[in-house]
Amino acid sequence: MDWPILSVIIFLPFLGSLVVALFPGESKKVLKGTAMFFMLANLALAVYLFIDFGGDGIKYMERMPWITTLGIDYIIGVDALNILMILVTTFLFPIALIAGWNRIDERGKAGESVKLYLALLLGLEAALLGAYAALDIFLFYIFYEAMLIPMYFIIGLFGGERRKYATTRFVIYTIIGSLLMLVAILVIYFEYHGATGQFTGDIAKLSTVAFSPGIKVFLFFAFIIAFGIKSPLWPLHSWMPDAYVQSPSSGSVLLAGLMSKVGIYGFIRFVIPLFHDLSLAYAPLIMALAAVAVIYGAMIATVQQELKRMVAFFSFSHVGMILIGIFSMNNFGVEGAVLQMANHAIVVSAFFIIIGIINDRSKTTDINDFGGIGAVVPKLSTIFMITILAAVGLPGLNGFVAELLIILGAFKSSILFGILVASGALLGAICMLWMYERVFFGKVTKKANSSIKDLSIRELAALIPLIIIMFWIGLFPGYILNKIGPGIEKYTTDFSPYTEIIEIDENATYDSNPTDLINTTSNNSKLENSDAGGLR
Amino acid sequence: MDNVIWIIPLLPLVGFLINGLVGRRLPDRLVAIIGVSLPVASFFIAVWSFLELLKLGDEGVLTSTLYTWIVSGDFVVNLTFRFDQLSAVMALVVSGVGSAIHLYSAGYMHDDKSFSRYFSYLNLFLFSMLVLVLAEDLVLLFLGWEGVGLCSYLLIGFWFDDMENAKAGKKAFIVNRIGDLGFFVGMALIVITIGTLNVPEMKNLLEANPGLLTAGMATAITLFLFVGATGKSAQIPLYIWLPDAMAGPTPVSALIHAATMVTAGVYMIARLGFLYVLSPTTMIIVALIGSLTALYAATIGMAQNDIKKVLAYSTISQLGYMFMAVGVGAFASGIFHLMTHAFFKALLFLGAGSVIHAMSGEQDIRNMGGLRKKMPITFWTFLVATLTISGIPPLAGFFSKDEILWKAFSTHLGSIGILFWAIGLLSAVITAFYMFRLFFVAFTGESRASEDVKKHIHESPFSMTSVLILLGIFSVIGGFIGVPELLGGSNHFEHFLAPIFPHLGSRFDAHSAHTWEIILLALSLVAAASGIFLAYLMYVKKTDIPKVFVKKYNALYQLVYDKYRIDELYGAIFIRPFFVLGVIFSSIVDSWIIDGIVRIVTMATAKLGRLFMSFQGGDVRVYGRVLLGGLLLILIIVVFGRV
Repeated sequence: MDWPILSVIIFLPFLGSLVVALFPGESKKVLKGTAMFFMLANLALAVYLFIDFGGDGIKYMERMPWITTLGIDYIIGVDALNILMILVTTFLFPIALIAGWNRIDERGKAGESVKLYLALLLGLEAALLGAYAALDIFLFYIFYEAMLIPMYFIIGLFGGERRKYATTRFVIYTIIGSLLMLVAILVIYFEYHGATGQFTGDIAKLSTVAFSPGIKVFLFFAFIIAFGIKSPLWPLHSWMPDAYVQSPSSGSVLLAGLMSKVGIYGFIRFVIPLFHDLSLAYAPLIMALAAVAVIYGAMIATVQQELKRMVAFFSFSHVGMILIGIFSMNNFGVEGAVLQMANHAIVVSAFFIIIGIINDRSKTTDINDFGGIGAVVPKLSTIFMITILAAVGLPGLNGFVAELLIILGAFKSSILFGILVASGALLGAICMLWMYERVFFGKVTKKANSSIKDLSIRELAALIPLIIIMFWIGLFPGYILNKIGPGIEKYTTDFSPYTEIIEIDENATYDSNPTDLINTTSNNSKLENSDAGGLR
Repeated sequence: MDNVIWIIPLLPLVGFLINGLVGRRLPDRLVAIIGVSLPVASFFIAVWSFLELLKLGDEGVLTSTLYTWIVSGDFVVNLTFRFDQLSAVMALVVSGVGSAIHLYSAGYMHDDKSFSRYFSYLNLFLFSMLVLVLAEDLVLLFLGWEGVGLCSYLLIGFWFDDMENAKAGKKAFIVNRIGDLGFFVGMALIVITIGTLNVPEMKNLLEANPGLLTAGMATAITLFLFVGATGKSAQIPLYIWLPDAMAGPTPVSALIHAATMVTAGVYMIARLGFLYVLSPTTMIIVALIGSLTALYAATIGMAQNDIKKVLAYSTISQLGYMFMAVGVGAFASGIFHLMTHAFFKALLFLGAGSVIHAMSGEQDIRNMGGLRKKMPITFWTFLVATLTISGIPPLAGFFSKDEILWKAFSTHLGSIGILFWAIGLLSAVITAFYMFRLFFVAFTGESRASEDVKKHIHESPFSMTSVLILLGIFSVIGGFIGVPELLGGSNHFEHFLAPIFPHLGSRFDAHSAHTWEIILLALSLVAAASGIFLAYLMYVKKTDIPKVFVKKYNALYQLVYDKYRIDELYGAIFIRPFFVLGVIFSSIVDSWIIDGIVRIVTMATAKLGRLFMSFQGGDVRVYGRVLLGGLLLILIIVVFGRV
């Protein structure tokens, strides 16, 4: 690859954001069209990237010195861990835009706020893609924090009634986590400097640092808390319901579908490679917390009266499932988790889009305000049903394959967690079917509900692609599994940060032989021995 | 893809897609033609494949692989359909009875406003069921397994503007899901021990290396899978959804909740017979649950007045027999009964549907009676089915049920078989009794319907009665393919299935077996006859006996009538606590404890901020005091710090 396609994918939305922001006219149509153009162009690039992707290594790696004095490099690359999320991110942005197409107009009087909204969306896309692609820990951190800025305004300016409260809370909560992580990153960074006399943010190098066990546990938990808040992991989730409920529907799509995945992704990309031994040692603890989320989240979701809140907790429950997959730390679990991240993004997005549509129609999302509308809106109810079935893991739809793998992974690591995570699918079904029954079945009880409009062409255009993807992944997951399989198999053999080192910084004095870096296994296992004692 | 068996499930799927996507815009006649002809075509391909299979002889099997579905490391799931002796029988029964019921539906549902939706669901069901029986891999089987559960949910709640129907559908789906959880756990345990879910491969691996499974693990796996079977096949303790499932259209009850879907659990155990025989503990539990369910459901059947409810409990009871059979290792007998039951139970339900259709939706047998003149075909075919289920020779049900009882009695598991047999025999008496009670009350005597309804009673259209006659014929002759040697037959059925199943001996030698078999046969006949006689006595001759009985033992009667109030028990010990706990989590734990801590932290930060704010309010005197205090502190530290 001669041109840096990955950088283009990251910065094209950013460019789009600038173009939209500086656009002289006020025509909403042109503005939205421009934003759409950038998103679709990016989607096309990402699809190309995905089709071209293969093998078990890192592809499209770009490495440039950036802040040389601090050893911070611009390293990005695509491997089995992030390829799907990059694709799904570029896929969901246009969908979210279509879904909120008219809704943006209502918010502001002038084109001004449309402009702002679109610029924020594109900015968010760039930051998300950057965070997924970054392989330098500082670069990741910058993108990770940059995501918060557009999201803060999307919720704060375009959200529901209590948007300010929700967004402030969301941002402060997240920042506390990321500051903790920053401290941990700096400790590792200086420790590495102390050991080698070099500054670097390259996680492949940082993962070789040896620590005294006490400090290492602190660092480990700093990361766990940071990503645990973002994901969210029980009991660090209390920012979530308000943020999901108060953000505009397309905001919830991006927040629940994509941003929370960065947290989960952080576990695979950073926590496990940097703290391989501790991850193994504390896996039962994290799996236990995640298992609590699976059961507790589903039970809370069941008794909710408000649709967005319900989906928020349902999503929380599924995040627990993904984390169990990750911390089962075997091939099944990790592969299932990586696939489930994409699935969850798609399914949760579909949920929030549908709820947004319902909210557009009736100005309410309270379950009790509905009843019997199944006969009134057959298309909507069918698509909602398919989404529910995908979410509860019906074979043939996307959720099943990933859930099967996660459950197998969990069983391999512990039968108890296996049974707990498997019961998540049952509880999810109870929660969703009960809600569906109350909204769609029976006789129409409220007069206003007898004239709700069914889906429009535009709304179908947002939802049908999601449904097609659900079936596609459900029926032909082999295509995706074959793409990510080899990389994940390699990842789970030694949990090295990269599955392969393609190029080595030539200036590096301490290391002239690339094979040393590949053999991080041996380094890790050495650490394991020394740390295992410290743990007990 | 070297043969056509993959087309067998594909055709109904095509029907589903056409009717589901564009059916609303098509005329009803075309919807019906598509919806019926594709399953029929699928049946003919199944027959053709069956003939091909016969040519191949004992070891013959047809497989066709479409593509690799799931792959993760060494774990591979192929989309492979397998047409061996067992799946041949199942595919023929499912597509055959299925086609017949599709045809019947075309008449039964003709004036429903969601005609195309009905046929699309019914086609989807047939697709899922055929996938279930043809799947070579357990994961693919699970796709069918969940698919039939989904269709059952959709079809029970077909008339969803009545909330009760919707609730019944949800109950079925969720109870099935509880079972599926067990199934899933069983599958996962197989993967971590044997490493594959491909059934023939599992069998080969186990034969090559029996040490793969410890006895305990084999018991765990088979028991978890059995939990799945109790959900799908409505056995104790997960049977509770089936009676409610009668809320669906009657042809659906016939097809899904009697003839095919509910037998999936029996099929699954028969398919995995090689695993089940590894654990005698599980076998005994399966047989015990089966026999207890047979008896338990039969007793409830005696007290019900809704014609479909009686048939529902009778289905549960008959499924119990099938589980008793596979539990004692008589897999072929279980499948034999599954087949004959599919004929006569579909016939019973469709007959009931014909009656309900004629009586403007009336389902209470106390408001029926005197139907013989007005609905002769329904009357006679229903009588045939009732005789069959009661076990009167030489009808199909006699051969299959009697064989189960004999196999239970002579099982290799030991003398516990006598217990199974005794329960089975007692259930047979009760079955004959409640079925003839139903028959006498609903069909004979004087009509008790209101004048309005009476005027409309008519025989059903040909599309419905032809199906009744067809199934009637099969209920009569279907048993002859499995006539035991004792009665001069050669049990073709068992021989045909022999290559599939493990061979377990009997605890009798050939000579004493012969004697015992004759004794048991005679007892079975006595049982059936006495059941029928009792029903005749109580509901035709001396009709005041039941009333006296009800008066005398009212509490007992009420308890049985209310299905032993098991639903209420489950409600109190599972459902209510679940919701209460959910509310506690939601409104106390989450909003007060977890979020409370967060709020306390924020509040403390804010308070602390305000406290510090007062130090820098611009008041010079405060600054002075702070300065002085600080100096003092430093002084103290300098002076005393080193001590």
